[in-house]
Amino acid sequence: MIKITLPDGSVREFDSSVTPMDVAKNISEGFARNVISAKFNGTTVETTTPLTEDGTLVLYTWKDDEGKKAFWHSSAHILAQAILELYPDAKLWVGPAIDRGFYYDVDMGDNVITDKDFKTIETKMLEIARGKHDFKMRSSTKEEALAYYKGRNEYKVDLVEGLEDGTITFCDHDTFTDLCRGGHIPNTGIVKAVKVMSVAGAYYKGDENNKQLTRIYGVSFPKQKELKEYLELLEEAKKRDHRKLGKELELFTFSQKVGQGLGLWLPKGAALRSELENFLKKAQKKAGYEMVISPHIGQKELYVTSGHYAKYGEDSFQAINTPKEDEEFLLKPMNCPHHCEIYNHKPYIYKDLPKRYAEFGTVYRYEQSGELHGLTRVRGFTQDDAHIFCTPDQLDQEFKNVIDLVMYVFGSLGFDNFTAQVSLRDPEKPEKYIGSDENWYKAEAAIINAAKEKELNYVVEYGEAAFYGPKLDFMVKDALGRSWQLGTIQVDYNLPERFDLTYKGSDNELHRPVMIHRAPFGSLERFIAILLEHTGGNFPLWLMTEQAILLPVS
Amino acid sequence: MLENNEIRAQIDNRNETVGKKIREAEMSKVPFMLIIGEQEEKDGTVSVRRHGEGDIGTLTMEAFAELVKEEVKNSLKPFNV
Repeated sequence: MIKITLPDGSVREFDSSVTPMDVAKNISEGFARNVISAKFNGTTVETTTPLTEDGTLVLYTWKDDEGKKAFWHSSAHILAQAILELYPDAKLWVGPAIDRGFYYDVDMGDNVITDKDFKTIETKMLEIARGKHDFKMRSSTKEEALAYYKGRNEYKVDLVEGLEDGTITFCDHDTFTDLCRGGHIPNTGIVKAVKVMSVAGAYYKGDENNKQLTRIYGVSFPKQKELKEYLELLEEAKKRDHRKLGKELELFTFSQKVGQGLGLWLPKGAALRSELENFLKKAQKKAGYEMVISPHIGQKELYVTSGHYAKYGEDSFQAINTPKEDEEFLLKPMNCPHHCEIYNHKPYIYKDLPKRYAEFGTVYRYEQSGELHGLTRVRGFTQDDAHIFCTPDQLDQEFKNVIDLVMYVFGSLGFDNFTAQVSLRDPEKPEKYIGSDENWYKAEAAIINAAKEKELNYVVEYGEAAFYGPKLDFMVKDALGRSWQLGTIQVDYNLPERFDLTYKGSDNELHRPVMIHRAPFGSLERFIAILLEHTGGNFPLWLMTEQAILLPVS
Repeated sequence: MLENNEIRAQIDNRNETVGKKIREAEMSKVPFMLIIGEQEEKDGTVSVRRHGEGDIGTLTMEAFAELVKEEVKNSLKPFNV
């Protein structure tokens, strides 16, 4: 007998070699009908894999991300089979599941696939799907695998060469066989709707010196209705594309002369921006923040001290020189070093804290031109930045106050659906992080307490903290169901150390304050882009820079 | 009147047809269109069109200002510390 632990903590006993699907049926027949993939002890398995030891089993349906992954991965196999049946000379390389669907990279030889062929491929895929062929995994020796592909597919030969003997598996369904690590739905029949979305060129191994293969993108669903809804959503997303709306509503523009990734705010956009700024300023004033202003550049030394030079120096905008030799300035990639020096302008005692300095600070970071996208990825952007300097004992309360502020901001702008991620240390590797254990425990406990008390819907991720402190990030879901990372709250033990920030405690000794970085919007550029796509340009009435227009008829 | 109530409004006085003005206001997603014809001018009212909803009736300026203020108040609560 083996013991299987389920996600709810319950333990069930089974004969050895029970399959995940058997376990699902044991839970309920109805549930089992929806189960399409499984993870055993953290590893993806087939629903038909015999389990031979005690362990934790998670069963997934289409509703789960893992379920979708298996569904789309399996659909990539069906696509590959359809391609080979329609184009017998095609050579397959790899075909993974992606965020929304799947693709397969194929060497089409002399054939070219265009939009006109999509329908034929879809029909073929559905014909295969309807056969309800089981996906069956089998192990293979390296020798067998090489023999299978030699002379007919050099891409797969290369893949097999890179694998260790004993780890090689194939997946068979119907007449089709593919080198595969596993993670499939039970059979092809579960796929009821498919759509070939697009084709694109993709270099073999991503290297532009190699041959260009054809990447065929597709998406599939367990119901025709869901495909229809998905396509409608895509259509709606196109209409709400912030680049398109920004142009139509005359909010912002870009100019090749000014430079890529540097947004230009038009009068209506600038008015919208200042409306948002005023809204946040008002709330922040109530919450005890003070506005500060710092310049757009700083001496190179400043960023060497802060450590930002090591991170942004080489790969970002290069130093600005002056007529004086050895004098170098950098465009600021972050506002925090300036704010640390603002803190340092005078000595503090514990009663002076917390200090909360806020600034709409514009920062500049170089991004590859291929990475730029409208206002969501730019080279200059304005953070709704603030830094809170407090004693370790104040951290708890300050963190809660920041969460209140962030939730107020989201609520006022109509983002009702959000989750939070709490990023903590990797408990196995304490040496990766700076700051004392005691302070880390305090900060981590403060974040978790705050998240609990504020009834956030949160997940804890170990090992995701920055080296200088734990953090809490907010993810919002927009009206089209897409997730965006917005506000962030980060605890920092590093900069107070590097800038030698102090305050005098009640014991008359000097202590280090703790620093909190926080930005509810993240950046105004990105936030406005997301808000545009969320609302389609129909902002809440209070934010509309033009609420009414009078049209005299006579 | 609208200014006194802190409602951000513009007047489209251009020498264009009403049809064109309505179309453009529609495109710019301005939430309320206030059409003032001869009758409205006489009565001190406005004929109100809401973006995405269409005609919502003829209101006095006061009633319209109240409507906007109410919606703003409901969507933007003050931040309480």
